[in-house]
Amino acid sequence: MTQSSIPADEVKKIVLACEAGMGSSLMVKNTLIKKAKKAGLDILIDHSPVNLIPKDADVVVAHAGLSARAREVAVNSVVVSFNMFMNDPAINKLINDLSEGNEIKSS
Amino acid sequence: MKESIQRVGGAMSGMVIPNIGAFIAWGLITALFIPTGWAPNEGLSEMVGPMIVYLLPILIGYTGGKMVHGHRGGVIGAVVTTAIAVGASDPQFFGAMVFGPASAWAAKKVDAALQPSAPEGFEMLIDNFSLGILATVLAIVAKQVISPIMQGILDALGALSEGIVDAGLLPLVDLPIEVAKVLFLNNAINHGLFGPLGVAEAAETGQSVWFMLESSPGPGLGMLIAYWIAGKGMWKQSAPGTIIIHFFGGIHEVYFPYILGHPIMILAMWAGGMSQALWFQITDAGLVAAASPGSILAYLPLIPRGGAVGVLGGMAIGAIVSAVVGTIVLRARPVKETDAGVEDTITMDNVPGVG
Repeated sequence: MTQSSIPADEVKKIVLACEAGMGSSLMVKNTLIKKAKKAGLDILIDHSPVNLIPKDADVVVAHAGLSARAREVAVNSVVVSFNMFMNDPAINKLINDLSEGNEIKSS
Repeated sequence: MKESIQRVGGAMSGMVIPNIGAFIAWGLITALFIPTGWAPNEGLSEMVGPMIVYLLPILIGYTGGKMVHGHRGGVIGAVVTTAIAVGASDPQFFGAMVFGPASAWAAKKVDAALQPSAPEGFEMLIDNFSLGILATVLAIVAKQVISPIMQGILDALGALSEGIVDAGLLPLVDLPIEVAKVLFLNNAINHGLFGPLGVAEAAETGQSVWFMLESSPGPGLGMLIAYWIAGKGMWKQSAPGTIIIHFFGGIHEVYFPYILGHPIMILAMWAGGMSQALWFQITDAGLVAAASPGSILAYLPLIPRGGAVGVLGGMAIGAIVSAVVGTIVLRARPVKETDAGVEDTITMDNVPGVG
């Protein structure tokens, strides 16, 4: 089963997943890295194809259209889904929760 | 259902996309050096045939095998794909996509049976010869049996795709494309299905319209312009940035939320996509190779000599029609904004054509 939540201080690795692992995931990854850096977060952020999400990912971020498949693959991760590729509230909330030490919840 | 289609499509495109660089090299060599190219050169054009018939399918078969069983899977996938390629006359992409992974799966089973029982010091001998012998057997079967079957399937598909073009049905093909795209089947369609069809046609005629039906950024551009003109709130504000990523960066995924969040906008995509396909059909347009990502910048070098009016004209028509229809739709049926932004309005279930 996918994890339903994880405390912020246990998040060491975030993986952005898209279909091919080369296009949109890379783009959103770079956005997330910038935001994490701004927030002073020390977390490894990577991207991957949805069917090859690494097992050690604590949090997986995927578009709502792919999150069902992300959940099948990333059984040990919290999966956060988003709708917009730019300025999505879910992405901003993730960064916010991480910097404030909140629980990261599956969505 | 949707997930399993995505999974098969994802596996197919996963074999092609890591090798796109080689496809582009082949496309550029073709565009430049074939007799109708920009700089015809008989000697250099000798590379075109072997690359398309052998190199590209073998890369796909290798990548497919590697996905199933690491490097050893890739090796046997490459051997078996070579056998299929040698036995057929057209580029064997479908054969590579099926039998690359399948032969790797067989190698995985054989390894699982043999490796635990290998005596100490004989591991390397057993590893190398088990793979070599299995590859030999599978290659013989592939050459004698599978290759003719795959060639037959390819002939049938080629005839079907030619029939669709000849019967003037290309615009209708656009209807399922636009829906499948926003369900994240864009790579599956473009690289899994249209890519192999396009390559088979381009190998004969030097260009193919199948490379453009999914990957043209025209209709998506128009739909986003409509949001820019007639949208509201964050939809309007985010449209210009999205246009740059979509049209120049070629990442079409960024426009999907604009359809998923307001499904009636698929009308704009259909209108733009169908008019574009109609123009492509009338002008006999095509690209010399697959444009990936689907960016205007990836398109430009792959337009065949004398084909600019067909390709760029179609793209422009697609963008204009989709912008006009999209603007009308947005005026008639504006997006309902909620306090939580867009989150409440977006579900996969309310996209037309998807149950």
